[in-house]
Amino acid sequence: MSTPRLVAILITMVAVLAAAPSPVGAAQQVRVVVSGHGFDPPIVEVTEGELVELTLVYGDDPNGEDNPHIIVIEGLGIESPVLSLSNPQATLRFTAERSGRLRFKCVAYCHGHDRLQEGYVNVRPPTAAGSAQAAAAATALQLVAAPPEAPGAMAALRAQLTSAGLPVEGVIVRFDQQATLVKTGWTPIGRVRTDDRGVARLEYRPFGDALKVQVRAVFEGTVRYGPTQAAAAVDLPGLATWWKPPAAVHIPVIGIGLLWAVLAGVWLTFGYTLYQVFTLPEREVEVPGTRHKRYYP
Amino acid sequence: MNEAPLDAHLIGIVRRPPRWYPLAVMLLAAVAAWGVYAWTVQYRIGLGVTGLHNRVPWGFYIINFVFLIGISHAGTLVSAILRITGAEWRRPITRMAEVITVVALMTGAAMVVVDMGRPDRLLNVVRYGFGRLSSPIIWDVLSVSTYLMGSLIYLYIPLIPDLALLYQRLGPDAPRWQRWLYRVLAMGWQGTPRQRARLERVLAIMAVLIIPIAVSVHTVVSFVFSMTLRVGWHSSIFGPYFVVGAIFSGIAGIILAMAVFRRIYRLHAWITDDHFRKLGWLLLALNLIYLYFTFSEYLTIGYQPDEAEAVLLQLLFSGAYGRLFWLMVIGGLVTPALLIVLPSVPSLRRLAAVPVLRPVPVALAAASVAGSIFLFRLLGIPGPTAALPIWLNWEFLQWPLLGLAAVLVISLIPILQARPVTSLVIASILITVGMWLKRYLIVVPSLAVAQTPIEAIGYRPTWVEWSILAGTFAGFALLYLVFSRVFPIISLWEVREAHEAGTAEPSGGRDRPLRAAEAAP
Repeated sequence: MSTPRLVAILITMVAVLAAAPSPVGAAQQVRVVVSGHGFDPPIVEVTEGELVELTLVYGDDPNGEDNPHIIVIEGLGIESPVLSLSNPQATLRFTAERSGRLRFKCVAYCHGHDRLQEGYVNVRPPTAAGSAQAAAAATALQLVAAPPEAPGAMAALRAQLTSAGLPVEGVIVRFDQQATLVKTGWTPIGRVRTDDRGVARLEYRPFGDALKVQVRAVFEGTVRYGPTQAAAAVDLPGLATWWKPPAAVHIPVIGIGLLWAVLAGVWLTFGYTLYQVFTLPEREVEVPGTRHKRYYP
Repeated sequence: MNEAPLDAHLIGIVRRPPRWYPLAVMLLAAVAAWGVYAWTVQYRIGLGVTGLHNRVPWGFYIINFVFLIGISHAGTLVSAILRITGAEWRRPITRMAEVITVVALMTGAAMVVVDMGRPDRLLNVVRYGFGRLSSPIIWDVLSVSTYLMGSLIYLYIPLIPDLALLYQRLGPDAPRWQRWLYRVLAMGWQGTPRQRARLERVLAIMAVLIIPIAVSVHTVVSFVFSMTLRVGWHSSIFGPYFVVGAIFSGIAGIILAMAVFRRIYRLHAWITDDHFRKLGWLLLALNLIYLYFTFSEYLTIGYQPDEAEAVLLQLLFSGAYGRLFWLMVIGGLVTPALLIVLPSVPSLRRLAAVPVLRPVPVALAAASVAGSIFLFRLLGIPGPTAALPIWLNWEFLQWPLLGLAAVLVISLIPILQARPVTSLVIASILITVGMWLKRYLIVVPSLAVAQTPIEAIGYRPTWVEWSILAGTFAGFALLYLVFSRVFPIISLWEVREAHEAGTAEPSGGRDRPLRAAEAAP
């Protein structure tokens, strides 16, 4: 076998191996120590499309005063539990869906707060050989909608995302409801991250004035997983009625009627005024050279 | 019929606009177009491009809305209230005031659509809002649209005789569209007794009707705030407070418009210093009422044993909004009042004799000190260890600088005193800016105060909001300028009528109208 062919086969094998979905749980592990001196390391690197396990470790003096931190990752809506002497370690699991840079920072009032504002997760695209031939794995989405128990109550949506029978964890599933205003379309109602069983749950209040509501769950896909969606219908037990605020002032008989009467009076006066203006002309004058007659001096 | 000089002058403007006119229109249109571009960015990407968020959901757009609706009260006051009370001197300025009303309402209402993020959401107001009349926002929609309609009618009716005149006087060389416009809008006006009587009648009806509508509009705008349970908003004073504030900023607006139009169209013979003087007193009266309301509002808030209210007051008086607040109070309320009163205190003239208060040397001194301090700050403030005199630091230097600024202001007093109109125009500019700031201080700090146990978040407008702000005011000026080019900016027939009746002297002095009225049989 010639050397170029050997190299080509090797590259293909590497590419196929890189493209194949790794088994669930085989996440990229990164570890960051959080202390009043800052993040250590302040920048971590992960690969796009992979599940990331970011382990945060409380790094302040274990014998000193408690200095609790709460770390959030901007743009993902992920927040860690409180890191403190009594809870020195927390793990955030998410999928780095797009290449780029994610910032994480501390939002608790702690010592060294200013030094805990710039931590970054650098999300790098998969290696060139991998991305050139990577085919996203097929996914399947199952959507179950539990209707609300009473008119105006919450409906529960449960979407499960799987790939080759295995749950897909840490990716965003978007839920939409069909709505009609001028034209019919899908309006987003929420974005939820899948848990370790690939399940995203959303409770929401169906809106609109139909008794049957169409909802769908959409997974837009990542580098590793292909896009998919599923639809379902929610049967409502009845339409919600307007909530009437318990205002202190009630004018039982005239109430709203008075408002309308005043408004109607004002607009009728406008109409009367305009009528007076439109009947200002007094005599007709022929416009020279045309068949038209105009009112004007 | 003789063509009165005013007719000739204004028809001249309509026939051939001044040379700078196209340039001004292009400039304003460019800024307005930039604002529209910023809006398309917001439309494409969403309200996320603004500094608004779920904690401070109201920002520049709602501030502009309240500000512009406030300015719109100029027309109601000058045109309707002064018409009903028989103030004859109002005649040359009614048209300007009415146009402010219409243009301000149009731009103000547009702000609400911009704030909604998507224009189609207006349909939601119709679709869901009218099932929910308990919402003050629906009252707002109803009363603002009623006010806009009423103001348009109230602008149009007194325009009819002038349109007929324009149609007659405009030569055949005038563009066809212009002749067509005037002919159609003139409604066959010939000035017959029947037509005059009818015009007077409908004008009287509209003048009476528009006042309660205007009061209701700004009361309802205040209800949008005060009917909530938010800190600083939930106050029974808000209705009258907003109405007074609206008329206050409206008068400042009309004074600015008068000054600008008087200069650019050379209307000194018709818009006299006397008009400015009289509006100046009205402005002062409302200024004092507004100061009183402001004092009363914050004192009431301060006496409530409520923690959130205390946080709001702290934010306003000494916290994040402290500078803006005191700028508004000192620069937008106290200083203008002093500027208006200044020309009426003759003893202040003696200040000019004090050698230390020569304005030019004082200004030079202040400018050089300020300039060197600016350089100083630019190059970095040296620490106490630097090999420099101990007094050479910002904390110390700001005091002599403030003192110099105060001396400069005092040295300007005799100059402003000799120029009451300039003084009044400066006061009006300060009031206009101050009232915009006041609306900012009503809207934003109340929202920024946390009412749930979360840390307070501020509001920082983005370039989109700044651009739309600039575009809005450019659009306002553009519409106003175009109106003044197409229609006479002074009500010709009303001025002529007063002239013929001898009730008003076009170039009259301080008490000429009174004497003329006495002389009339």
